[in-house]
Amino acid sequence: MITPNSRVVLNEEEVAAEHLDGEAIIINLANGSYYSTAGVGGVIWGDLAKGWSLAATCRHVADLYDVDARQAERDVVEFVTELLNENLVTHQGETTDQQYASAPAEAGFPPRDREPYAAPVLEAYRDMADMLALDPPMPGLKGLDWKPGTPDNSRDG
Amino acid sequence: MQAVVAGLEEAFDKAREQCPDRCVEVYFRFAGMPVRFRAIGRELAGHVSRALSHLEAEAPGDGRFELDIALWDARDTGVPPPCGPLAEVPDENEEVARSPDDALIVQSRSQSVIALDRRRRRIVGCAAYGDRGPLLHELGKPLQQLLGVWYLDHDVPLIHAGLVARDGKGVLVGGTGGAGKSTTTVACLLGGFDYLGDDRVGLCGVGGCFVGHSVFNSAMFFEEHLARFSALWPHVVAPRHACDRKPVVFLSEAFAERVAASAAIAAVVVPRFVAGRRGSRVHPASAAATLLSIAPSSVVFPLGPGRAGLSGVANLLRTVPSFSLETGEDITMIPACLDRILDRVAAS
Repeated sequence: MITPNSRVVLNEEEVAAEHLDGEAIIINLANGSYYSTAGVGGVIWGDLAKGWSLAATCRHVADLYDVDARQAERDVVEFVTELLNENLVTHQGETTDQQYASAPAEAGFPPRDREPYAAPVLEAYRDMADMLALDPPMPGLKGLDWKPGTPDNSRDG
Repeated sequence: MQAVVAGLEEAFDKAREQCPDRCVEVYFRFAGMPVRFRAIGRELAGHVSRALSHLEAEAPGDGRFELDIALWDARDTGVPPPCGPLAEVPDENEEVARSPDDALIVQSRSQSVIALDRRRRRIVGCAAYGDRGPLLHELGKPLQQLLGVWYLDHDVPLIHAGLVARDGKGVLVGGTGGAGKSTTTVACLLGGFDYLGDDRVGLCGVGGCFVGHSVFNSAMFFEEHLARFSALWPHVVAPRHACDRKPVVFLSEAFAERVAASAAIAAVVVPRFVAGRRGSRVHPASAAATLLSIAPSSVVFPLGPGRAGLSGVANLLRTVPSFSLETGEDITMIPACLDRILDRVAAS
């Protein structure tokens, strides 16, 4: 079960993802399902991609968005549980890592305005997965330890 | 696996010794890289090279190739593949076998068995197509999957997209199957654009710029979509086998001077047909939405470019603007929309 003390890492073996303009596009290379998540979801995915703990991610969300810490924690845990159910992340025990410390308000300046909050949403797309159900994608090709420019392909003239 | 490939090499040599008068040797440039293509069997040579003809080139002066393709016609030469006879009637069954280190890939189909040796940059194999020739998707996109691996090994992932260009400035046309890539690219060809492909393009990023490389000069449509392009009808290769789904057109045969090898990519567009609409309209699109439209079908297919493909497309979208194209019944208006995109990019 996922808790704020859980250590969660991206499933790098089977999942490829890119972050563009605050939105994460995630592809499960093993089954063809693909996902998008923007806003709070994009922040959570970005923090996990940086290796942050869930506790740090919860604090980060509460700092960026107009949401109380407990609500942020509940929503982050629920979102990450969904990522886990989709096999996009793996659960690797517990941690007390404190990578992210909320930025203190600077003396003499008002607290930074937090953005309006909306619970994170993971949009899932199964059309490729349905198409590949009968012909599953193969494991990714291994790279080779050579570089172009020195071919050895001439067996004859 | 090594034994399978060695057997194919031996059989090719045997076919070449027994039928020297049937050896065809042609040179190409794939993404600018020298390729030698040899086929023992003139019909086989024609079948495989037809979709690649726009990439023909002179033999490299130093005699070195980044890819050496060696194929023989088992029917024409009487030399069977080492695995046993091939089928008389084609079907869509296919098996792909990989060595543990993925250095060797053997693709076995009903009427061909062809291997890629990634380290030696060599494709060797044989085919035995009947009087009707290969299946149309093999005729239109020959060796697609094995070439896709070779391109990927050379940092040119093949993306599921089309590409057209005006004065060397390309517009990548993305989207999943049925989005309208073929219709958009061919409509643009007929509207004066150069054509570089309708659904597979090699993507190469160098120094912050991206170049799209043409792979095949063919376009494949469902027949109801082909009905809108009367200029292509004389050049259509109609379905010949029970499992042929889409006719194919070799655009270098119809418009030789407008089929190009490569173009710098200035913008990306994702088409979408809107029923009941007459004309076409363009809107700016977010990079993320465009990546979502293009990446999955580029990345997730057997022997596809995987992470490298996703990363390549994402980096492209961080560099050039994206647009969505709503198309209607009047496809002659599509080229003007892409011209407006290029004008807008030039002005920014």
